[in-house]
Amino acid sequence: MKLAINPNPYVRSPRSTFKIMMELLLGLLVVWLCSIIYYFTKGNAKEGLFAIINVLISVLSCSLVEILFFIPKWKQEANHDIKSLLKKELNSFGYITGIILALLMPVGVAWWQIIICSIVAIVVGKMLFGGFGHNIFNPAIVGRIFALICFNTSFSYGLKDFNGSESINAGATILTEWAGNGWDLHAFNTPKWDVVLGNYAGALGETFSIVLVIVGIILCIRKVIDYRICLSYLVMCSLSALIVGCRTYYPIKFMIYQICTGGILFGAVFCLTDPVTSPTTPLGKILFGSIAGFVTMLIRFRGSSAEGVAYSILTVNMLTPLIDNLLAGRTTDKFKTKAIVIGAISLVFLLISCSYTIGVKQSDPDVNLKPVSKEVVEYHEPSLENLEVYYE
Amino acid sequence: MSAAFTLFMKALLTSNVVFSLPYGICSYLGVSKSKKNSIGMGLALTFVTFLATLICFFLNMLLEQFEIGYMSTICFILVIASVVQFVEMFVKKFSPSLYKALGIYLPLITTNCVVLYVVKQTTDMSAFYGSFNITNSMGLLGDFLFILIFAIGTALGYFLALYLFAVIREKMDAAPTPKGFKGVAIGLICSAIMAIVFINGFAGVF
Amino acid sequence: MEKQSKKSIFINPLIKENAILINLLGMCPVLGVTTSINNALGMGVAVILVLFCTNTFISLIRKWVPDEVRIPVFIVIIACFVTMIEYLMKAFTPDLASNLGLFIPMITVNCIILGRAEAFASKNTVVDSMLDGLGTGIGFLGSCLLLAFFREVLGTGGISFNNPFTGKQLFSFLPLEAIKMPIFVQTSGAFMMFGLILGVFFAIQLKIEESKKLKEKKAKENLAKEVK
Repeated sequence: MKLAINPNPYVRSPRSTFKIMMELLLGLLVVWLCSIIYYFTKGNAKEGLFAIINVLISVLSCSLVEILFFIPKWKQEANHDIKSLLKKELNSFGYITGIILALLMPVGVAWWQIIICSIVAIVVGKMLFGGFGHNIFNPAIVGRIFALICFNTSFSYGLKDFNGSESINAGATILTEWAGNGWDLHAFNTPKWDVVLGNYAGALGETFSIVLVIVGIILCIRKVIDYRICLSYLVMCSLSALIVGCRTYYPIKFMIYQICTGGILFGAVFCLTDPVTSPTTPLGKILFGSIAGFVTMLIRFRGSSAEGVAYSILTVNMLTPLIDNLLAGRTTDKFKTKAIVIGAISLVFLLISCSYTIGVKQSDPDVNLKPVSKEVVEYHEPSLENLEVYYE
Repeated sequence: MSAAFTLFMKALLTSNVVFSLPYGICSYLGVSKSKKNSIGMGLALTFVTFLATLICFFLNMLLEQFEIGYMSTICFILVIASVVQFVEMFVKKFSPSLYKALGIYLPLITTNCVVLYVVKQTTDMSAFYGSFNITNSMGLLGDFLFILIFAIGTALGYFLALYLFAVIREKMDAAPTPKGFKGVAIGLICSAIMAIVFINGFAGVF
Repeated sequence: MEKQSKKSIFINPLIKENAILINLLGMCPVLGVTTSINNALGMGVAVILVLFCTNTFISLIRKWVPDEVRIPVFIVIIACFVTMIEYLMKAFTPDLASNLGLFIPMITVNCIILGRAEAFASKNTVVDSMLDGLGTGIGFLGSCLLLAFFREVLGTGGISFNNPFTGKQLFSFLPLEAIKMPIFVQTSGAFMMFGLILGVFFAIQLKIEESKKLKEKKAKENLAKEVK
């Protein structure tokens, strides 16, 4: 009996991998369009131009590096014309890695940094492992983490700071500022509709919560990405944030702010659901999402790094072969066993998240959560009469 | 109590012996070719580390009494070699199948950097406390307990890294890696990303 | 066993049978020590000294060591020499010794030294063992320097060199400082760089072997044609 061994993703429907990836690309283009519109209208023309150029540079360099890897094999083939080389590249989806990588970066990243990160992402994260379908780690996340470790202090998350002033805290995001203030909701100066719509400075594609949710739901319905991973990840993140938010007097608001800031929604829709690096069994997928959610919240509340989502995606990618080993080939059709396993693990994770409340400041319930007014406070010259107050 | 837990988790994750100050790379790359060997090697190493630390803690106190602290490397190596020999005889007698499975890996623990690294920490406890940010308020008993927890945590961290790498390697060996990279080189690159996860990802969590 | 010429004993371990790049032994210190060329140089010199001394000594006493206890005896001899060199380094090059930290005592359990003692020094004459020790040590130093060069240039933007005895900086040449990538000074960058270097090295090796085989095949075909 001849066994055909093909790399994952395994597709059973008449749609090919190519068509599924094209629909994913469409979703990414929608998010990119949102970011271009945002930076052209709210920022200045330079930022908008960078929003376009960053993605184009990233896509081009990723594709070129992949083509370089395909050249030796292409030369040995019978007919080598440019068309067959381009077809190889089209089926290897390096440009999707490119656009995801650029959407994960802030708008102030330099062109040479993007090129270095895309080279590292494609070479180290994908081609050396054997190309499309054989990589262990998500290549875009590998590139993003490389940028985080090497170039983070030279980033600027937008030419206007969150409070509207022109100064930039290099490497700071809205999330690190919020964490620095002890997760105090009063220090969160962006009004709630701005947070949800994405009217604040962050990475290129991360901020548009409503758009990402709509795109995610459409992709799940079209069966392009797996709903189990998205759902378990978001549920675990939300429950952890809710438990921590109970220490403040506005738990629901806290939870929504937590989900909408940082890369949680973008990671859930585009990065975690990569079928190559996630488990194949349904129970495995739910475990995958839950562990990722737990690690995200652990790093966010207890860790000293800003990119909890990226590290958690790498962590669960590392655990995917283990999960597949333990669960593949076993029929866990019994709903009871599945429910018990998931329930037990979730309970352990949520109990641990109760310990995150240590670093959270308790908000005063009487004060209204309004953004700090942007009026300039009048400056009074100290006069001789007032001086008496200072000298007791 | 929380200091002990922090030390254990630090030794396991943030200061994982394979990924942060790389020790034990030779056996890490060699043994991880099969999952069964990894489990055996990890457990054997944990046992040897625990016993060796137990003995070397008191041996170090003895050496310092006679002011021949410079003989520590030589004495520790002899202790480790004899502990490994003892464990080998033990395993041979009580579980011949495990002895056959482990093969040459058991004597290899003698030249494993991990064990010597752990027992060397007993010679300079203040540097050890400094690097892990602990304050010891229980005197000699605190020294003893902390160093034992560190030993178990380090060995289990090695075991965790080894087992995870063995599982991933099984998947990687079936993939069409470029010709020169098959085996050790792609394993090193995969370990690089695992190192980022363990060291940078969990930094500051514990 | 045919006698190797003195020259081949010295030259072989340098490239053809390089301990780290080909035999993949003794990699523990390579990844930890190559953060800068200074440290790599210091470690390499220490390993050369230890290899030279242990190979000579073991080759001197090889006829009087009983077979059953030879491994523990070798280990004790190696440990003695390593302790001597460790305290010499702490006395004369304190900055280097504190940078290298625990890696100097770790030379004791380095597979290279025990491997050379077991495979070569216990079976050959003193002069041969001395040459072998020197050759292996220089091969080790060479591969350490290669890795350290790449790591330092990419990680800090250039090369800087300190006087090992006093710790003062002799010169520093940092042309690429604007695009430095600090990950290469950390351990994960070490793994990545070492993996890339090994992969490229093996790929080149495979290509050389392939072209050799092709040449042999062509030579055989030509010979067959001529015979016809």
